[in-house]
Amino acid sequence: MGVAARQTILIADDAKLNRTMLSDILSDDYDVIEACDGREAVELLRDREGAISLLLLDIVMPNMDGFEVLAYLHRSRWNNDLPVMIISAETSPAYIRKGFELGVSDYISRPFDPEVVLQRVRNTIALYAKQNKLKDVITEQVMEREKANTLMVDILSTIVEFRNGESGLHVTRIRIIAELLLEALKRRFPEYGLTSSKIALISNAAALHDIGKIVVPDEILNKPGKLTPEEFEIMKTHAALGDEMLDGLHFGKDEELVKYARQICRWHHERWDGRGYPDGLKGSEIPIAAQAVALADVYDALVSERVYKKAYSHETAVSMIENGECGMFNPDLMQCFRAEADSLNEIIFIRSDPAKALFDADKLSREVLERSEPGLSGRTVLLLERERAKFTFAASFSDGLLFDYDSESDTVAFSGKDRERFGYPKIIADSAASLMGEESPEALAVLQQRIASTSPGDPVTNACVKLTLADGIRRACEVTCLVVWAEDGEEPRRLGVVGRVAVRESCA
Amino acid sequence: MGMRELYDAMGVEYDDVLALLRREDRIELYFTQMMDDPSFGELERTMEERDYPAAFRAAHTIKGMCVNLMIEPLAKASIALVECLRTDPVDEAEATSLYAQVRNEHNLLLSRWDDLL
Repeated sequence: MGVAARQTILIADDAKLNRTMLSDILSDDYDVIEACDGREAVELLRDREGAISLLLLDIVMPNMDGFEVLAYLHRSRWNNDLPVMIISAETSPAYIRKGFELGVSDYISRPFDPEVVLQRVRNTIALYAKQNKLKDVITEQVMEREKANTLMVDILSTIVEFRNGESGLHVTRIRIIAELLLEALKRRFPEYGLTSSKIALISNAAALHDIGKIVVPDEILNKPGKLTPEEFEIMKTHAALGDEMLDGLHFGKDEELVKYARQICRWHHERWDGRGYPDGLKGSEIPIAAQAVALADVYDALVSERVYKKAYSHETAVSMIENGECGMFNPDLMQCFRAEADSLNEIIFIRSDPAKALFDADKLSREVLERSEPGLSGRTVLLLERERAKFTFAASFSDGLLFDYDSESDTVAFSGKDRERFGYPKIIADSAASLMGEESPEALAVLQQRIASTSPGDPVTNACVKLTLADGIRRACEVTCLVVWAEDGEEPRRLGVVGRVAVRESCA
Repeated sequence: MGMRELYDAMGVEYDDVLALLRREDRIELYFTQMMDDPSFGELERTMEERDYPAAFRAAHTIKGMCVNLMIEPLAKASIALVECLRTDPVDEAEATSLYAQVRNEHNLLLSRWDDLL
């Protein structure tokens, strides 16, 4: 953010006098925009999401009062990023309490002293700016730390792989596959107690799974044909040896990374039914870190070319693992593997790009901040701004009525060349479905049913419905929409629907 | 008559007003905006229609403006009306009489304001 960038304050008050007085107080130091009721405030906030530093809110207003605005902010999860100060003539304690319960930062009652208002505004904005800066600093630090860790581990593992006659890509892919499996496991089976930071550590440690091979003789390690039973016994020692090597560390033995690395080295050849090596552990005796890496290692070995074998296709590899040809794995893990299998191929390809960070530092730092929901830190805001500008620009060329429905806040925004022809407002906050439901209940039912039939794999749908336009005439309209899915939770869920409505002569 | 005389006529110390608002150059503008505010018309309409929730909102806005500009007689009358309209059910006889006081104070202010212009 530039030093000279002035912050913007939104004043929402129905009385012109109140807006003028506040604007007089603040306009020397801030850019001030005004809304004359709650609905206009929400519209401005959506238009300039993330670009407003403070909301000064009146409570008693027509068309959405202050409390409704606060509830809306809460539903849209903006309340963490946008400080709100109430300025009201209302002095009843119940009102003030309710304001604070709804998350406002400050409550100023009338009559107010201009100097006090200015100071309190400054303090609140500074506090939030500090908090955002802190968030960025932590993100930066987590990213730096992870980068350094990952680099060291990668150097070490690549040396081992190099001796093994393999490229360092195996290390990278093991990391990614393990991470994918564990993320899926975290979503589906909370009982494993996985967190984003644990997963980052395990997938980092996964790169070290074969370090024990450094003591396996070259002739065995790189033998093109099948190993003799004696040779295989020697090969098998790499698992326990990796663990012992790490046990010999003078420093860092207590580090979580090392603990996971030891589990992974020693037990990544164990199998669920107890028929693996070196210890013949069974079922949940095998730590989950080692189980995930074992499966990742098997899959990657199958789809890679090795001195002793050609690469199998992704499909063959999946069915070989399914058929138990590579030993038994935890059924929970297999369920995740099956769910992720289709995307495995593609994601590995994308994420192997060294230009991309292997770790999602943002996700980790969010966890550090004990926030599981994505926030709007400085960078995100810039991205959002850019996307919004692009969308608005593109929408101005587009025929028809464009809509963008956000299910969490139950808000729909309309745009496009034909918006006025349809007689729709720019935004409807609260019960977005009501508009269409009132005049065309059957159209709404058709759309709801179509939307319900979509899935993350098949998110696009269309329907032909009859809608009443601004001229009062009912016309056939083709609705094409894309359902936006979130797959970050346990179950994929619908985030919203975007699409276009176009008037047709008739519909098929 | 200037702003100082207008406040004197209401029995309000103008220096206190200046101390609060600090912008002598803006006080007349503030006053104009308050007098032009649609809340007064809104209050009249909603009281006639006995739409008390809407009357509460209008009276509340009037109260806020008057308190901020230290227009004490009208502030006092509108505060009383706000508190009466807040209760459910509204005591209609009391609301009507309190509204009459608000209207009287408003009319008085209007005539003084006209003298000033």
